[in-house]
Amino acid sequence: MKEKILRISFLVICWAIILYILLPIIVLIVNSFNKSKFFEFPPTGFSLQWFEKFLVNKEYQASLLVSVKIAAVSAFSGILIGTPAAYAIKRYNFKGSNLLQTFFLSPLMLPSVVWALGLIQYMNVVRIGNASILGTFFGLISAHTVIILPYVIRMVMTSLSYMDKDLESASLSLGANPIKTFFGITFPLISPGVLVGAVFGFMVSFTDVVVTSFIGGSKYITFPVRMYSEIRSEGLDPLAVAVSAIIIIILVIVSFICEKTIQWSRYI
Amino acid sequence: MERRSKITPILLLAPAILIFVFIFVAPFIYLIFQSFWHYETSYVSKQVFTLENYIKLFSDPYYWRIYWRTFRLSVISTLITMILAYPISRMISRMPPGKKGLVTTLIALPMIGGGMIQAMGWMTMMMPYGAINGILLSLGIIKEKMTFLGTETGILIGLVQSFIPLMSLPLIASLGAIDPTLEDASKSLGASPLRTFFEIILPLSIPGAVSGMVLTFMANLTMYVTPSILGQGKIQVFGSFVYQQAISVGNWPFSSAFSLFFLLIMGVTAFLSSWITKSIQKSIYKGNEA
Repeated sequence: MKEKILRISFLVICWAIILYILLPIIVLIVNSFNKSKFFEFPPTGFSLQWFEKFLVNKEYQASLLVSVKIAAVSAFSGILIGTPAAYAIKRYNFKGSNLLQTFFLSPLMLPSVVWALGLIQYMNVVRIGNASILGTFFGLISAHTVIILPYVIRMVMTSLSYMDKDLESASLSLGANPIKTFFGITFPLISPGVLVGAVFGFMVSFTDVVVTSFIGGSKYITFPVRMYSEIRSEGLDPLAVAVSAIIIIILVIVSFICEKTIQWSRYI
Repeated sequence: MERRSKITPILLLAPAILIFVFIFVAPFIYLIFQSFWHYETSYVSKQVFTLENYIKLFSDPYYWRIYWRTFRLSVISTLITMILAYPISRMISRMPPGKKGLVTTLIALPMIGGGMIQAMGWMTMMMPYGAINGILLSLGIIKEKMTFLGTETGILIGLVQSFIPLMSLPLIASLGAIDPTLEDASKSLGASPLRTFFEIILPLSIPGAVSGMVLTFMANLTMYVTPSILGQGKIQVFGSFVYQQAISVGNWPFSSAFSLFFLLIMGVTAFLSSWITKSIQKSIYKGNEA
């Protein structure tokens, strides 16, 4: 009996903590349907006006498009560069492979603010042709690819360690060349990890504020960066809350689809 | 698998190494140079060697107060995060695989949604007429409206929530790796649940707890979005100060020196904390053997 009470109170505490973790997301979604624009509690009435306003707001739409473009290109280049690197670290035993792995994962440990500060100064002096790459699409993509790569490399390495290595040996000993073996055997088996890397990479790039606010310049203002500077200068706009609610709903749905289909929590 | 070609791994690694060297390593090196240059005017520095940025940093206690505030908030936030993340990680680690994955995804949502969305959610709740004051007033817990925006309490509430996933994920892995039969053995030998926890579970989960704490502490030290949104610009921490110096003021040499010195403190802290926890773990194991 005593143990049962103990167990139930433990569960209650745990779910209260989980509610706390999810609170901002829940509140954001609830507030996006609020009639008034002052976020008072309890909400005064139901309305879809902020979503309607978003449909005609060109600035927000443009920002979202910039965010999607940058995230998509970066996620793609992330898996293109990261997959072979992870494969080489896992499958070729060479001197320093552990060190290299630490090197590739180091952006996760080092403060991105400091890196972003170095990046803005560095990109300002690095030139392609006559123009500096600061504030260019190329500059943003290369920075975002570096943000994504540690995640992709870690996730692909995880999926390589889940996979049975003997299948590769069998294919090679049966006469298939390494390239055929990779695309015929290895890649199909690790593709869930690569896919998770791409999806997660997209999200990381899409939601980044720190690096993008430093090096984005005035031409490529992503949605989170626009939110950040708007809130700081003009305060919180209910329209911004509504758009963020749409984004978070999409992210939640995609996350649960990924979990249900390929159990992505194994890789995170 | 026998592979003789030495060229193949180099070719496979080349793109990743190149982009890391040019986009990740080079800016840090440039930062070191910049910190020794002279500030002329916004976004312009003169490339002559000088120690003036470091002298400025060490001579004005204002900058030390920013370091200290950042450090203090990070320690408090990391400890609270640990206390809250531990029970849920323990619960999740004992769930059956399917449910475990779903709840893990659930608690990872703040990380997936990014700092901006979390900060916006908290901001709506922390407004004077927002949800937190509304609920606390209607329950009679407080008599007058409390201020959260622009206070350290407000920032801490947001930071802890954002960083629980970071702490929880390594903890779930390390708690899940503990053999459940150990617990059963301890219980069947008559140990109370509390004793089982303190003598079996806790010591075995230390590696995961340490890596979670280091990750969380580092993330806290460089927090930037949460404090500047929830702090309303009133509470300056490392990240927000660097942004202000680099983007609004444009003093690149000084912000570089300010960041590099902080990086040095961070490195020393990380090294010391992992060393201390390793020795604590060793002494626990020795105590158990005796």
